[in-house]
Formats: sequence, structure tokens, C-alpha cells
Amino acid sequence: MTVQCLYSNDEPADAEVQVYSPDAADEAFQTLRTDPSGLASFVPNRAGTWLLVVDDGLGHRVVHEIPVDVDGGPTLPTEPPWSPSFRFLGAAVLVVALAAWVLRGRGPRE
Amino acid sequence: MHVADGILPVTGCVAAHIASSACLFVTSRNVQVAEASKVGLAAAAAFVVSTIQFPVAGLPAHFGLFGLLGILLGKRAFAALYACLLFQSLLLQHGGLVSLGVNAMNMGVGVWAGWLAWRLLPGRIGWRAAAAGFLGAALPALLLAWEFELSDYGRGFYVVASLYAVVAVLEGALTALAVGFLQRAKPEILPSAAG
Repeated sequence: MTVQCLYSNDEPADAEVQVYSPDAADEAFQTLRTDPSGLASFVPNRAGTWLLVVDDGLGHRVVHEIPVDVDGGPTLPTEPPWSPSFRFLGAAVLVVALAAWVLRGRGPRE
Repeated sequence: MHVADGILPVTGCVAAHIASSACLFVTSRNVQVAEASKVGLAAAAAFVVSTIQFPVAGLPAHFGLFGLLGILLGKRAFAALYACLLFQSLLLQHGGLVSLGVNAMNMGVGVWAGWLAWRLLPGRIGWRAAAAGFLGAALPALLLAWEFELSDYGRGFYVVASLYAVVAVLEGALTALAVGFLQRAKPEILPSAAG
């Protein structure tokens, strides 16, 4: 099984990945290091919910559960909640609102 | 610059939650309606700006507007910061609810440092704003690096500190630009150094 660790801006993360098997949550089954593309691979040896703890050593950490069935099929990784286009739209709306607020009352009234 | 959940000891996170709640209470007492709308708008601005990321050495960095919050809101900036961090942790996966107190205290030092730099430093407005922006980001970064060091976590004090020093320099420049714009467009928004 291969996982790809990306930051929210889609840059690959240089991170340590600790893999916990379904039957041993207190001791890591394997400790991996991502490659320059953010990829890390391991071979699950049983079905169940595997736990991945990804940590880049700079304060970014995520815990991800991967259910593995008898065929070895993982779930897909979750997407960031806000798409870049939505962020841009939000930023544009806020900039306009701020500009309107800052400039309110200015004009040729007097 | 956020600490995610599960990195620092839970006892430290709980202590930081208590400290940040106390700071929130003290700095938000007797807030007036006009102030509340200003705090809310500033928090919204900081939140939206934080969603725009840019790479620094491959890491996703973003502006926090800590210095600008301190300049515009004074001690009330902590409430804006706290609200911003809460929504960042809920919506953007920046930090986490357990480490919310730690992040609030780290960055709270930044907004207050920005406020003090703006009020106390001599010189032209642009330089004072740049200093507020720089300190507002640099001090939280140093605190973060120190906490990682204490927790025996991560890649080391100097790696973390130098990474965020770049962001602090950019934050100083952005704060100076923003204050320069406000000075031209609506100078009464900016509290005077003596005020």
C-alpha cells in the first residue's frame, strides 16, 4: 500500500510515517520516511483498520485511518475542506468589503 | 506556525487552555458594540488571509496578520486571534482543538508584541508597523521552536526558527504596506502611538 503525504498547498511533505496495525495500537508496525514525492509504502499483513501517523517534525501532524479489507483495498484520502478557487473568491469578497468599509464616508459630499 | 494536536504534552495543552481562556476573559471585558464589529471584521480578515498559502522551503506558509491585529485592536486583538485560530482548526486543519490554547498563547504574545511595538517604538509609522509585523510573527515562532525543544520534538530549534524568520520578514513588509494604505485612506483607524 502506498500513501502520499501532501501539504494543503499540494507540496509533498518530508515526513515520518508511523504505521500501526489493527491488533497492536501501542507499538508501531513500521516507521517510514516519505520520498521526495511525499510517497511512502508498506505491506499490510492483515485486514482491519490501520492507523497512519504522519509528522513532519515542524508541528504538522495528521492521523489517518485506513480500513483494509481482505483484498487489501484502502479508502481514498480526504480532500482539504476548502478548494483554492473558493479561497480566492473568499479573499476577493473580503478585500472588497474591507475597502468599502475603509473608504466609506469618503466622497464629494462636503 | 500552528502546533497540531498530539505533539506537545497534554498537561501543557491544558495549562495553555486555562491561560488563554483567562487572557480572553481579561482582554474582552467591557467590549463595546463598535469595538466588537471591528474585532470581528479583523478576525475575518486574518482568517481569510491565512487561507492563502505560499511555499517557504517547500512548506505551506501563510500570513497571520498578528502585528496588524495588535496595531488595530490593541489588547482586544487576542479575541480576534482566538476566534481566527478556532475556525482555522475547525475548517483548515491548522493546529487542533487540544492545542488551541498553546497556539493562542504563542500567537497572543505576537499580537501584544505588535501592539507594544506600535505604541512604544520611536520613528516613522512605516518602520513601527514593520517592526510590529516582524515581532508579531517572530516571537510566536521562537516560542514554538522553544516548546518543540522542551518537548524533545522535531528538527531542532534553529531549523524551526529560521524557517519562520522568513515569514516574519514578509509579515513585517506586509504590515508596513497595510498600515501605509490605511494611513492614506482612513488614518483615524490607526491608533496613535500615544494612544
